[in-house]
Formats: sequence, C-alpha cells, structure tokens
Amino acid sequence: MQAFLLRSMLVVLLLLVGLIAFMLLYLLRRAALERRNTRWRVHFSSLIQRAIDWEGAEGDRLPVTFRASRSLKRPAARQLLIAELITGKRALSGSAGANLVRLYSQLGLGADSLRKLASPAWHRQAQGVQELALMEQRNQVARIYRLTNAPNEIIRTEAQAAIVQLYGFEGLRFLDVLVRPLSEWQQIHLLRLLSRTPGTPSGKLREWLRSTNPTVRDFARKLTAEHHLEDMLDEEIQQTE
Amino acid sequence: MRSVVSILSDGLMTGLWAYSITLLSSYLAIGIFAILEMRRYWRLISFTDYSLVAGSPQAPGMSILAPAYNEGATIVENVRSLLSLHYRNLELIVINDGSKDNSLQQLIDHYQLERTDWPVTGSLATKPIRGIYKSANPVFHRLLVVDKENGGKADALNVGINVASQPYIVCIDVDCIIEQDALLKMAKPFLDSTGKRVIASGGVVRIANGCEIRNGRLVKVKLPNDFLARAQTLEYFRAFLLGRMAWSRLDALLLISGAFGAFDKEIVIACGGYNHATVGEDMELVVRMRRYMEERRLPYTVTYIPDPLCWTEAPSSYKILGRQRNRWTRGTIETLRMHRIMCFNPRYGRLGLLSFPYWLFFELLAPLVEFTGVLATLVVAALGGLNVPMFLALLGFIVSFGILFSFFAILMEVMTYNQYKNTKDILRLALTAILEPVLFHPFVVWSAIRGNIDLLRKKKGWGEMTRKGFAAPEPKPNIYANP
Repeated sequence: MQAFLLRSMLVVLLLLVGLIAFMLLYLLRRAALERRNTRWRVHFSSLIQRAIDWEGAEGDRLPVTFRASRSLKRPAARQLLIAELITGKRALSGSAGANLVRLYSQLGLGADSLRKLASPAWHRQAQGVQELALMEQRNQVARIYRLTNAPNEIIRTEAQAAIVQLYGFEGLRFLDVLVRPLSEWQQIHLLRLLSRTPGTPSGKLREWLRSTNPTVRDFARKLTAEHHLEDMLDEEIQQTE
Repeated sequence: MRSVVSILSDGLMTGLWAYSITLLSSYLAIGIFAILEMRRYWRLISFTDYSLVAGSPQAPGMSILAPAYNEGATIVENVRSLLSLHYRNLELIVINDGSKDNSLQQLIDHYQLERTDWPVTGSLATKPIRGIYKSANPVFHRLLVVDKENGGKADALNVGINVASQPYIVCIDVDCIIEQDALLKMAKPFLDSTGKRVIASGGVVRIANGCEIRNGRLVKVKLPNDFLARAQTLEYFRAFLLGRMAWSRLDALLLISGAFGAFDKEIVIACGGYNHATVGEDMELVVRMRRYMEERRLPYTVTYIPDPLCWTEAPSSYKILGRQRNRWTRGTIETLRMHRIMCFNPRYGRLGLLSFPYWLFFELLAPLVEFTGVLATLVVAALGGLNVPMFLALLGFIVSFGILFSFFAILMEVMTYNQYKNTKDILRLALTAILEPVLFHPFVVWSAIRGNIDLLRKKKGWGEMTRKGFAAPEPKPNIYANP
C-alpha cells in the first residue's frame, strides 16, 4: 500500500506540474493572441471608418486596404472583423450602418456565418443566426425561419429575434405555429425589437390571443397593452367567457 | 501489544486512505462538472444582453433586503451604493435591527426620512416593528427603512419579507459591495425559466480585501496583501467557481450565500421565511424551500450565476476567522439535523441521494475525520506503532492533491473571469495554494471542531464579527439634499 501511495503521490505531482505548465502556456498564448488581435483591430478600425464615411454609388466597391485584406486570409481575423462589424452595426443606423452591411457582403463574410449556421454545435448555430440577422442577410430567411421552433432554446430565441429584426411585426408569424414556450425574457426581447419597428401588430393578434400555447397568449396580451389595443383583449375575454 | 498497535496503525491508515480516496474522487467529479457548467454558461451569456431588463417596465419587481446592526460607520455610503444599482423595478428595504449606535438617525438625517404608514402585508412572525420610514425627497423614492427591535439577522430578514411589496426578494449583507449590474443578472434566471419555477438564485461572492473601493463602489480589483485574506480568496475560488458550479450543473445546490441571493417571495413565505433557530439561516432556507417543492412534487430549480456580483470583506485576523468558521459549522450541523429526513431518501431525488450525503460526509464530517485522524496518529506514534513511511506517503498524497485542486481553481479563474490580471498576483496565489495546507487549513479544521464543541454546549450566538471596513470614502457634499 505504501508503494501504491507513493506512486499515487507521484501521479498527483506530475499532474500538478502539467497543470502549471498548461497555465503558463495558456497565459503566454493569451498574451500573444491579445497582441495579434490588437494589431488586427488597428487594421480593421481604419477599414470600418472608411466604410462608414464612404459615399460611393450603388455598384461601387468599398475601399479595402492591403493590410486588412492580407489579414482576412486568416479565419480568426475574419471572425474578429465580423464581431467589429456587428458592434458597429448595433451602434449605427442609416447609410453608415448600410455601408457596414455592404462591407460584410463584399468581403464574403456571410460564408463564415453560413458555416456556423450549418454547424452541429448549438452556440455556433445561434451565433450564425445572430450575425446573418444583424447583417440583414434576408436571402437566408427561409433557413432562419425553420429554426424559430428549434428544440434548442438559444437557437430558437435567436432565430425568433432575427426574424422580428428583419421583418418587424410581419416576422411574428412564427407565433402561429410555435409549440415551444416563449420565456418572459424572450417576450421582453421581442417587445424591445418591435418598439424600434414602425407599424402595429397584424390582424393575427386575435388568433394569438386564442393560441393553444399559453406563453403566446401571454405575449399577445403584452402586445395589446403595449399598443393600447385593450378593447381587442376585452372582446376576446368576453368571447372566452 | 506491539502487533495490536501495528494492526491499529494499519487500520487507521487504511481507513484514512479510503475516506481520502472517496473525498478526492468527489473533488474530481466536482472539477469535471464545474468545467462543463462553466463552458455552458460562457456560451449562454455571449447571447445575453442584460440591458434588455434595465429599462423594461416588464422586468420583475425586486425588493433588496439589507439588515443592518450597528453599521453607523458606513450605513449612509452603503445605502447610497445600493440605491445606484441598475434596475428599474427596485425597492431597497434597510432593516435596522435594533442597532445601539446612531445608524437610524444617520439614515433619517441623510435621506430625509419621515415616518409612514406602510402596509405590512406578510404574516411571518417577527419581533415588533418600531417604525417604517420613507424619504420626503423623491430622489430616494426607492428607499424604505424599517426600524425594529433586535432579533437577529433571520428576524430582520423576515421583517423585510413582510414589508416587501415586490414578488422577488434579494437578501444581502448591507456592508457588501454589489456590482452595478448584479440585479440585471439575477433577474435573468427568473425570467428565462418556462417549465420549472426558479425559487432561488445565488451569485458569486468575492473577497474585497485589498481592492480599491470609492464611495461604496469597487474601483479596482486587487489581490489582498495579507496571507489570511489571500487564502480565503483562493478558498472562495474553490467554493464558488468549482463547488457551487458543479452542484448547479446537477441542480442540487443546497447553499446560497447569505451575502447575496435572490428568492421567490411567495415560496419563501409559504415555507415560513427564515428560521430563527439556526445560525446558518441562509443554507437552512434553501434546503427548506427545496424540501417544500420536492414534497409537493412541484417542478422547480435553484440557479446560480458564476459572475462576480458581490464583494465582501473577509476576516483578516485568526480570531474573527475562527468565529466565522465556528458559526458556519454550527449552521451546517443545525441545518442537516433539521432536515435529516432527506438523507439517502430517494423521495428527494438528487438532493437526498447526492447533495445531502455529500454535505454530511465531506463538508461536515471532513474536519472531524481529519482531527480524529491526527489524534489517533499521535496516539499510535506515542505507542511506537506508527508506520512512518506509510504515514508520510498518505500525508504527501493528500496534501499534493489539495494543492492540485487549488491550482485547478486558479486556472479556472484565469481562464474565465481573470480578475487578477497581474502575473505577479497569479504567482502569489500559487504560493498561497502551496502554503495554505500548513498555515490556513489546520486553523479552519480547528475552528470547525470548536463549532462542534460549542454546539454540544448549546452555544447559539453569532460571535462578534468586527471588520476593518473598506477604505473611508472621501467626504462628498450631499447633492441630493433639498436646499
């Protein structure tokens, strides 16, 4: 037993040394990645700034610096640029925001987002949905729409948010067939997205108030309150009674 | 005689070895579950925009309950800090638990409080309320101060529950520093859940010793300079980043820190609120709430947020640390004794078959086993029967595993929140991990033994918890005061 204990201790000590070595390597690698990302960010910030200020015609191509295009051969750099574009798009609207979308399309970054969408990992799929929606890739709506009833909650909520982001109140048609619950958090999320959209709820609101999915009914009630359509709600309650 | 001693010695070593192996295996399992849960959480939060609820009228109402006893030195600043938390539907209830100092007067003067007829809707039995105060200044409309007769922390919290008007309560220690977005993060699990009812949610508590604090807010995270606080920093890494993370993965969390936890008020009241009869009221409430839901077969969950949300001052002297650990031990024993029916009871699922036995065997009994092992080893050694090489091999194995576990906790911190960015700080933490088994752990074990003895002597008190306090805030004019 004594020999066994000594061997066990040796294994633990080796694991400890391994852990320390891993930690050191991790810290070194992280520092190197941070330096590299800082360098890329410098390239991309000038690229993004030029795109924001650009006033070219419809068919013209946005200016892309040599350094930026060289960096973009690396998948990690492309991912970093997508993240920067998303941050910019969230903060900007109008022509500046549209130019960022144009840059995303021109550099073929949509292919990266589509690869994520095809991934079996839920977090990558959800990320793909988020990127495509923020970058207004309406040509992918059919693929995204199919995910609004997905079993994975994050993929589902991102897809629902994406559709509403792209099509406003019209996008809420996924509620017609939604069989999975709509959490309170998601309801708040959708209400906020809708508050930024012009228009009013569609004629489907009555149907949603009668939905077999209780969370859809709940959301429809909030929507009626938000848009001061309490009369409709009262009518529905009277009919139910 | 010699062979008897030898048999005893071998039996002792084998017993300790078997116990250690079981304990260390559970630590391994904790490490694996913690990694899985942390990975899941990090992926989830990358899709979370907490600003959603910051200004939303749909966000659920929360009442912060902050019991205060003789906190006159810092109460005004602490309340100011709590009033500035980012959350729309928020009510801050400070419960003055019969303080002997001028806490109440300070609050009245500074926040222009006036006595009011506030409805007390809850029905939990408590010590009498002497008065309820609200501010005449609309800037402080979120603040409510309750003055009551002294009855202890559990009683003060029950008064807060009775007075609270919001559906969720957040129980805190008034001297803790809460991150500005803590409530936004706390609200999410309650809003996210669809199938199961979230009855409670816990947050991570971190050590504030050594950090830069200004006007009740954490300005810069720094590693404590004194060894004792640093050892507790490491201990909190192990407890919060590994232990609770793993139990959260298994949905079998039994403890939410009294320093910061959110609860569904309806269930808390249905369970009878905080228990006055224990010094471990935070753990006891969670166990009772879970037991309540399990016995009624109601779908529920207890969630946990690994983000650093609350910063507390750790004891910086052995005397105060000893009192704290003594109380924690008594609280754990009292809680496990009150709910002993759950132990190995399949009716309570994972709680009864996994979580409860773990607490019993590895949280409660570990110090006793360790202490008994040391005593027995000394006796066997005195009788000349100790197998020294085997003893040293066993000791070396256990200590090296402990250090490995601490290093793993440091690695988790570095790979996730990385609060201590300086490489020197990481090295200091590593050194603490190596010294801790000699300079810190034996004292913690001894304090736990003292806790057991005090419980046998029927000692009930909390023991005085003097704190140094955070750096004094710079004097600042009261810009909110009416001219």
